[in-house]
Amino acid sequence: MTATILSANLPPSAFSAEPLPPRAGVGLKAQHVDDILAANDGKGADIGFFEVHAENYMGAGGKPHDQLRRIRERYPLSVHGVGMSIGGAQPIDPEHLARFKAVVEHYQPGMVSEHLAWSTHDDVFYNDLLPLPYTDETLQMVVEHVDEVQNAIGRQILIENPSTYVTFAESAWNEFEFMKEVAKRAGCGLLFDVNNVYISATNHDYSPEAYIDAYPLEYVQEIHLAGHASDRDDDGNPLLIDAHDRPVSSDVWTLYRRTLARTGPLPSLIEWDNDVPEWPVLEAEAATAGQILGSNRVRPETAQQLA
Amino acid sequence: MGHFAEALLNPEQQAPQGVGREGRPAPRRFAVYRNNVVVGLLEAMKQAYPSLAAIMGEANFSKVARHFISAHPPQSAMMQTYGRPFAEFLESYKPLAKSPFLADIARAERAWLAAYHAVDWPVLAPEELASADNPSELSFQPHPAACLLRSNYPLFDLFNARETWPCPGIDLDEAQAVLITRPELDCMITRLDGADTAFLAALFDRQTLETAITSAMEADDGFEPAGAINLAFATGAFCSLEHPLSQTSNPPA
Repeated sequence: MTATILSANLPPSAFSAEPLPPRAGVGLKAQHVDDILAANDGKGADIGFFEVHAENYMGAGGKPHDQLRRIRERYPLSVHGVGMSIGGAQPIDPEHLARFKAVVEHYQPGMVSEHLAWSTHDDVFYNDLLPLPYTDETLQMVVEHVDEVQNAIGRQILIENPSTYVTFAESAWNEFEFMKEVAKRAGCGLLFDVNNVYISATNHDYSPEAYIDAYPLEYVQEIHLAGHASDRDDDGNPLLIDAHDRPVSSDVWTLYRRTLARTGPLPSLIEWDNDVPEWPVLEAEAATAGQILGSNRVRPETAQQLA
Repeated sequence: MGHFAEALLNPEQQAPQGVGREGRPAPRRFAVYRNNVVVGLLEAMKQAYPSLAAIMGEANFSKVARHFISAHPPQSAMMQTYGRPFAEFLESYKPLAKSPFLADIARAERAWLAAYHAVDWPVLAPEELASADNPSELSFQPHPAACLLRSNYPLFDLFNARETWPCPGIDLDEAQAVLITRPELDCMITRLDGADTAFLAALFDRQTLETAITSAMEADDGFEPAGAINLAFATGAFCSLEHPLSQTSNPPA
């Protein structure tokens, strides 16, 4: 039995692409949909946008699509892929790309994004975002893969910086330089995950502030925020885990302010994928991001350029 | 990436060369990836097979699921399809040879998940049959979400048990057939008696209504066609009528 591709089955969509506003958004969870839509006397919760994992909407029909349609009718949407294996050493899976395209075409999201990571090797899908060495060779591969995805869906995507637990001896590039080169050569944008920056900087013992200051923020069009867990590595060094299972830490909020001070307000997503709390907890996290965004109304660098 | 990938699902294999911290190996760091992969796949299995996880008990289910994951890692990023051959795996899994009913629970849960994601398609309306000229000569197109399962075990009771075996009140000697359907957005499971099973099985097999009624009467001479037809409508088992000599519009496969 082969998987059914949804494009043939869903009725044509009436959605037109709506850009994400520079406000706080939340990763959509099925269990929150009714609360979200019922909030404010049925007008819906006051949230800037919602983001979904494309893979959760690759089925033919049923409840997932019904829920997403009802959300999409009221809110701008971001479609975030977690299974394209952009950083993989092998060609993009054409079947997966076709399913991804069908989701994008149907829901007409304001933003489409994927990860600097791999998840497929040979014929096995590992269902995780795995790290890659930063070399000329992997750079070329990533650029080709991003290009292929962008050509297939006919629009620009954003690539997200990873959280990593190991480094590769063969890496020849800094991560922020690698990201910049990917964006420049592939013509894609970047999704800046502030929690990932904090995790990787802690795990690999560099300054997250210096990373942010050096990052090619001119390519960044969306921000991710999430909570992380703490552990220790083999030598007792701190090892942070990208758990998405708790509130955003105060260190990450501080780095978020630092980022916004350079970029100005950008669509900013709260991700909470494990031990998912009741809707009001997520709404409160989004409100915190919203307050910080509200104090950054002017895009400093743009303002300078205009002056 | 080959060594990295191989070591993920193979705990005996060392972390790959040149991967670690500042050029030195760091097994605990690599173990985070190993753990993420295995825990993520176990979670996918638990979500697909909640009744099995309950009946087998969390720890026992996880042990068996880990063996399944090693033998059948995912081959698609569509995680909703992951774990399809679990029923066959359980059947051939020697330590569970004394619990052959587990494979049937896996089949029912897989059918439930398939129904959950099935294409949105209208169910057959009673008026269509009522207005047909020669209803007994018609056959029925099964709804894309519908699945009929016959079991030598009390499948309906086991599917709904949601507690660790042995479950009080469940008699393993009882054979039960179930019908899994999704008339709107919510899946449903219906327990069928012997005559209804024979009736619906014949219809799923594209026999005519008349043949299906005959099969059901053979199973139970007290069979009442009206009740069984109503059951078929109420559950959304079918989506259209098929005239023997004409083509109807079919839902996508």
